[in-house]
Amino acid sequence: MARIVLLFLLLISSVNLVRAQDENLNIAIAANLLPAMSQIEALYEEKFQSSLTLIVASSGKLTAQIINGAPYDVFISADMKYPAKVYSAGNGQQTPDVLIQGKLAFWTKEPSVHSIEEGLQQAKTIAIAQPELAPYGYQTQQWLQAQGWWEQVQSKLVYAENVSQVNQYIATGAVDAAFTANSAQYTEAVGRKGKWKTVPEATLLPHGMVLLQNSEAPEYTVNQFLEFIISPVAQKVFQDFGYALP
Amino acid sequence: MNWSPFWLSFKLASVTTVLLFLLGIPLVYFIYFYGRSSKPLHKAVISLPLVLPPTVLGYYLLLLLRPEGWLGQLSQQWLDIRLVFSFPGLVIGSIIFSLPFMVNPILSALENLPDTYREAAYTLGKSRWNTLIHVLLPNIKASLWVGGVMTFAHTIGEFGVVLMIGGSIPEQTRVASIAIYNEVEMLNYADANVYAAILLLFSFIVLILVYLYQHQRTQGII
Repeated sequence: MARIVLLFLLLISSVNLVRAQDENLNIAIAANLLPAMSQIEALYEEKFQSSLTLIVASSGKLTAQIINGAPYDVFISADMKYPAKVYSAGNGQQTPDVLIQGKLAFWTKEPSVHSIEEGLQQAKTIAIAQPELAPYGYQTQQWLQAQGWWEQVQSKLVYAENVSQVNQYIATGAVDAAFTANSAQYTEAVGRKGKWKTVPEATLLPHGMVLLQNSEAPEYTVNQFLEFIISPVAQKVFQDFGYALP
Repeated sequence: MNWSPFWLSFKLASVTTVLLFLLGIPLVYFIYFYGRSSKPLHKAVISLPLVLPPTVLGYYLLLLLRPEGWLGQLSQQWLDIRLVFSFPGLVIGSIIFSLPFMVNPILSALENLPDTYREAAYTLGKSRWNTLIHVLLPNIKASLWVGGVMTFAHTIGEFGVVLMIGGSIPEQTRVASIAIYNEVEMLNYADANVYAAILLLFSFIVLILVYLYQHQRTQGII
């Protein structure tokens, strides 16, 4: 028994040793950024021989986690509100910067649909991200209200936790229509399904980035990442996925 | 404070328990009387929801219930009901999810009954079904109760599956566990506290009642 305990303790301590030497960065990102950030992650790891871990959730959920002490190094939100909240709660190292601008897109399963209005009328279920949690959901609500369609579509709405789950509903064909991040249409999984439309006159979503107080990574690793994420290589990836530069 | 998530959870758990009881008895009947060498296989299938992560169940249910899935297609064509993101869809999910909680206690109680009960009933000319309904089940009333109560409680506590196939629609699929999750995410800790405390208290009371009932019965026999 004592031997097993000893072995166990040894195992745990060795894990800790490995972790201490690791130059890994934990990057908390809003769900819509996953397709672009996975490519950037691959490019980064190839260039610097150190690794990134992407933590994907809705901006609201990540904010709650960060305020409660989640060990992330950098937070990229789908808006400016949540990074500001993180900063004002004392969890940010500096004021948030705008990294990129996201756009809202509309998708229908039926490829013959001509307008968003027609798509909304035909659909029996429409997926949106939760307005209270996900900036894309909030923007969707704002836009539908501005068009005067919010009340009409109420009974058809299905709420996803974040745009990743909206995309999952698109991929499985579980809904007829959806509002999601424009970046989704440039991905393999859902890009070729149904019909995509960019939402006209929808406000751009500035994506804020903030360096976090909880970060325990060495300063040069963090700086290396911050430089890389605004380098032309990374910006090109963002543009390929339909984001606008600030 | 919005109470509709609790009402919805209560409704879902009640419907699931009643339907699962009605489905569970014939299922137990077949496994008990006709299972023979394939019994371990049947038991393994029934116990799968116990060990599978809710995400695995949720994923398969999503594929099954979506409009292109075979069950989704059938119900759309014949009943004009869309299963995914709807209350009926949640009921189907809950029935599968809670299946072992209903079937396992009943089945193991039946297997623990002395064979003589069954044999005596046969000798008196009762069919298998009649033996089950009039002789065997009345002897395992306690396990029937435990199966029902545990199914109810387990459905109230269901989360992962509902998260994946529910769509969080207020008054339709936003059950109590999901409502708590949302409140926490929105940093509404005050509401989340109340919701969570109610569920904690409820689960505790249910378990106390179940164990109290079992305790009293064993005391009675001695």
